[in-house]
Amino acid sequence: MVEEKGNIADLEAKVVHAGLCCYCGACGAFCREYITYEDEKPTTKEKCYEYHGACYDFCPRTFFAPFDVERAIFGEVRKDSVLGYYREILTARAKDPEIQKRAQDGGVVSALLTYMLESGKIEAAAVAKRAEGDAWKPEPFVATSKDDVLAAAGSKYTQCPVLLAVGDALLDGKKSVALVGLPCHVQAMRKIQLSESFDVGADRVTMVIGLFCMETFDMEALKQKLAEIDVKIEDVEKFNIKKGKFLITVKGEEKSIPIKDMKTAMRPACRVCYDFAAEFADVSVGSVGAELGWNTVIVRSEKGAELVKEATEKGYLEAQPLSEEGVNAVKTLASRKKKENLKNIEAQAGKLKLLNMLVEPELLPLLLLE
Amino acid sequence: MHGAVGSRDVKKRIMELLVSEAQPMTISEIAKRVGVSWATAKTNVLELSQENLLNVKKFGRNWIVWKELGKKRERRTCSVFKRR
Repeated sequence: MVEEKGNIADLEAKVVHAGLCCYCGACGAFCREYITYEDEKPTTKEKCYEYHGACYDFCPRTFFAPFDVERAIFGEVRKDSVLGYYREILTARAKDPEIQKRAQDGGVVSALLTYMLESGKIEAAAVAKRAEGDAWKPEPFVATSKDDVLAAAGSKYTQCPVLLAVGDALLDGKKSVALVGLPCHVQAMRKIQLSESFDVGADRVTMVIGLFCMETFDMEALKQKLAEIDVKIEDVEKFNIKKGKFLITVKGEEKSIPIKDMKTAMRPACRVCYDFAAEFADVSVGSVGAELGWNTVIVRSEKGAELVKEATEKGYLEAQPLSEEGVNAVKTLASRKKKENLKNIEAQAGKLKLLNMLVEPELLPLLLLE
Repeated sequence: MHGAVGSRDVKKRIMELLVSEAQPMTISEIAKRVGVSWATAKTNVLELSQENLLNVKKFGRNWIVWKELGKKRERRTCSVFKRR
């Protein structure tokens, strides 16, 4: 991958103070001495003297070369500009009733993790789990059993630095680890794995499961939005997003806020994200496009295809091809995110440099031959 | 002649000097005693400070370098993960 050099001061200037930090945890995952997290951002009391730091190198927002990653992970680049590289798109659900009961939708992620842990394919999984005593604050967690996986099941709607759990697992000497993360987590993981400067043993992360993501919410802004409909976050039993609505279940009763009204609660860094379907994962999972109680599963890498096939054959999953209508629903949502965010990316990007030519990104098509 | 002195050797000699002197020194003093240019001494001192093996601080025009003997816990940076 193309590499830029930078250190923690550069990271703070270009990413954190520029409002681009996605709070994935990659910068602090392998720097436990200098980087801590406050207010959902990395912070330093003191700077190290590294000229080129892992913090800058691993951050998905400093530089990211999508096609280099695709060549390295999938062996070729995408043919689909909306969903990225993939082999097949399925709809699936967990067969275990216990998982179905705890899952947000079809329980595919929990079923895959359970299969990998029980078959010895992985020793641990880095996941986001709701914090004890603060149910809607997700925290990074290293799951090593089915009970752990079930405890972490269900969607979280605020950001979690899951890469810290990857760091914990690798530094603890785990030999095979899976990551479950949002597109930003997946991008960071691929940067860590493909770094030309640092080797943290990330080849031991043998499976990357990505989650579809339109955006995450800022915790304080989310609480404020809920207050507008007289709901306290501690009383919420379940959040969900369906058909343009943000659904909130409180004491068995379902309330809703139009998703367009939730945009003000969105984390600013999510406005410049160009990835809905976790395009660089081995397997991507979401709910859009699937029937109620099922998931949409985008199988991308060879490893991912083997995993889904084996988990299905061993009875952990039931799967079938997703209908054309379902695929179109995924594409529509992914396109919407890309279109909306491309404007924000262009506004913040400045001019692109193509060898010696400096061009505004939105005007680049004017220069290209048909 | 300076180019003939390997970087590792320079670092080793700087560390030995600071331990034996047991007091703060300037880059000029270090350069003279180790037998390298001021620029080489400064580069090596800064690299050593990155590894937390010594302390360096700029006072006015002078860089002051010292080694705390057995007092400070060494802080780990990401350099431990650098590909060699």
